[in-house]
Amino acid sequence: MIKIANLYDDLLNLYGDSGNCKALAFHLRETGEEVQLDRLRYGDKLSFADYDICIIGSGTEQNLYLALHDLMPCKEELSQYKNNGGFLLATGNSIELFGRSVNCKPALGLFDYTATYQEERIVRDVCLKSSLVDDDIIGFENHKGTLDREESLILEDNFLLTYTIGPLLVRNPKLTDCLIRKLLANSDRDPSKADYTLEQQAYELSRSTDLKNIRQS
Amino acid sequence: MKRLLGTLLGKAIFFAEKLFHRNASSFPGKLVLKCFPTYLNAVEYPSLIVMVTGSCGKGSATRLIADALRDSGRTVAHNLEGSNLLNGVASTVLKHCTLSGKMKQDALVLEVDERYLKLITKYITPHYLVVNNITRDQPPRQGDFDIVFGEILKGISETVHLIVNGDDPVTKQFALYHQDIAYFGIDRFFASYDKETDDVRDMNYCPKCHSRLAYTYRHYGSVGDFHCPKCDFARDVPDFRITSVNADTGELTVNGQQTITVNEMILFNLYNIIAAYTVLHAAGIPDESSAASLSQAHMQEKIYHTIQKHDRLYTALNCKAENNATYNLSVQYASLDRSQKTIVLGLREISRRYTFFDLSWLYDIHFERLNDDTLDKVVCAGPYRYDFAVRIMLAGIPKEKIILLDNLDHAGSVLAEQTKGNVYGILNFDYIEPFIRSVEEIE
Repeated sequence: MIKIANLYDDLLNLYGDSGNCKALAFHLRETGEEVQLDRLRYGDKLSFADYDICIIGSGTEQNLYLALHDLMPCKEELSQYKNNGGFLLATGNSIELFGRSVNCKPALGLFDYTATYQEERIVRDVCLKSSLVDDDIIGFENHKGTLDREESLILEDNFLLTYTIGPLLVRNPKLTDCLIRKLLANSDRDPSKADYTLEQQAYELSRSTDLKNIRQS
Repeated sequence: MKRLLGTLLGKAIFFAEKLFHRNASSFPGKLVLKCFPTYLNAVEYPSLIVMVTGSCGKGSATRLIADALRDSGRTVAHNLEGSNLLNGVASTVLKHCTLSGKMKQDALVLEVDERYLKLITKYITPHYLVVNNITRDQPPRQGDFDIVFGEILKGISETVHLIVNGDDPVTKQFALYHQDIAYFGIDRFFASYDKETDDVRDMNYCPKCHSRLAYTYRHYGSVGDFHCPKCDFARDVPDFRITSVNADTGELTVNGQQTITVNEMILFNLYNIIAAYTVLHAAGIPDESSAASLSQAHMQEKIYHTIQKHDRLYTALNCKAENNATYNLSVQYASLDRSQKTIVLGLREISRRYTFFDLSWLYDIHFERLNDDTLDKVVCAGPYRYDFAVRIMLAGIPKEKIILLDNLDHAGSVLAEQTKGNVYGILNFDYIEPFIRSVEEIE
């Protein structure tokens, strides 16, 4: 069984972030794997070691600080979880929680970056390269902070962090496939039973000139 | 002098536009404000000014208020949909004022964009300001609902009488910053539910003490009868509320007294009606007269339209892309029909303002609610058909129920031949007309 912890689903859910849990659970189940999806909320006891993967998403500034406040006492445990090969997917501004500081407030310090808030929000389509998959990773960014490091996609141990919002896994079926293969590495399930046809069609159409013309007409 | 020159210039442009059959609603205002930036300060306004702002439905609420004021014998100037930014408002004022810059109408009723409220109230101070809702809307432009709340707050002066949705914890937060507020709301009715569903909600925690909000019932998202278990932040009993709803007769009761008969039983329509009723009461219109006017009101055809064809009812529900609330209420409306049904989804352009590819809001729509035996097919149409189809698949709806169409050009025959039950077109505004056309073409 794969156990997914959706962290702060009722605080950090601003930009369709629930799509990542939905896509992961759906395709894991297609392989025959059993999935347990737990929603861990503000004030709940967080036992990271109980989970195979944690998923966390975007929130308003206020909600991000609330989540940070709740997570701070767990930073040692989270660091251990990371060192032990635990998986984590952070989308949108939740990436800011894991650096040294968010807008001058101390953060979890698992990664060596700081987030600084800007006057103008950063709102843009993105197309990223990653060592995980050959295909470009497509997505959308909508955030106030910037990091003092270059990469838009941070990968370390089994932690994947990106400012790309919401349904990252929905829009990038190859990435979902890659993640599911890693999660099922020690099981006898066949990851190729997951069917990404519709997602792949959406991916290809969104990259075609046809759609670009429609969007600009 | 400024008033005279500005008005003359504005009127001249209106005249020229008419002469050349051009109709750019905000252009006269734009030009006059360019020449006379403080022109709006100089105008003499009616003795009643109402503004309506919020994330969605403000155009419809504004129309209800303006029509009811007219029914009561008052003359009303009101802005047409879309002219809700500063230039559009200036054009409305120019169009309705005399050459000397005086508005002779009894009332000015304005729909105002939530980000522009603070710019408009710099020049025009409303007596009543209605905030009908604040929710996720156009994220690339708005950021999030907390930001919108802050922007609206900047446009509220101390003297204004606020009228806000008391069922929504987001708008109830105005109570933390402003004194003079009347609340409207809806008591438990047939569409309310007790149990927390896994739909996305804007606000789950108390803004004062951060405790998780508790509910006795919900209407949608975080809207319902909420209270903080640890402090005094709560819905309380709104000043004006719909106390009963009869789905069969369309009769609503307000505060257990007045009866209003509604023609369209859609939750947003109910909220607009009770918001209008509340502002009309505050403006001194007798409740009986308001109730009679609001009973006459119909939603605009482009927002809600039904067609009966061969024993099947086709309903077009106009939703706003990038705004899950309008979609969620349409999904709720369709799911309350317990007979067999088909859903049509689609849009042509995500936004008219920008070309970003952001469909993340599809995951804030609770399509899971449609997943039961009464659902025959889901038609996903248009350039984003695969994105809709993926969302539907991830809602647990079997792939066999999904029909993909490039556009709605020949949707009529597909609907007639391949689908069953009542049809609900849950569509962006740019697909409403193609949907209606294709249904009308069914032999």
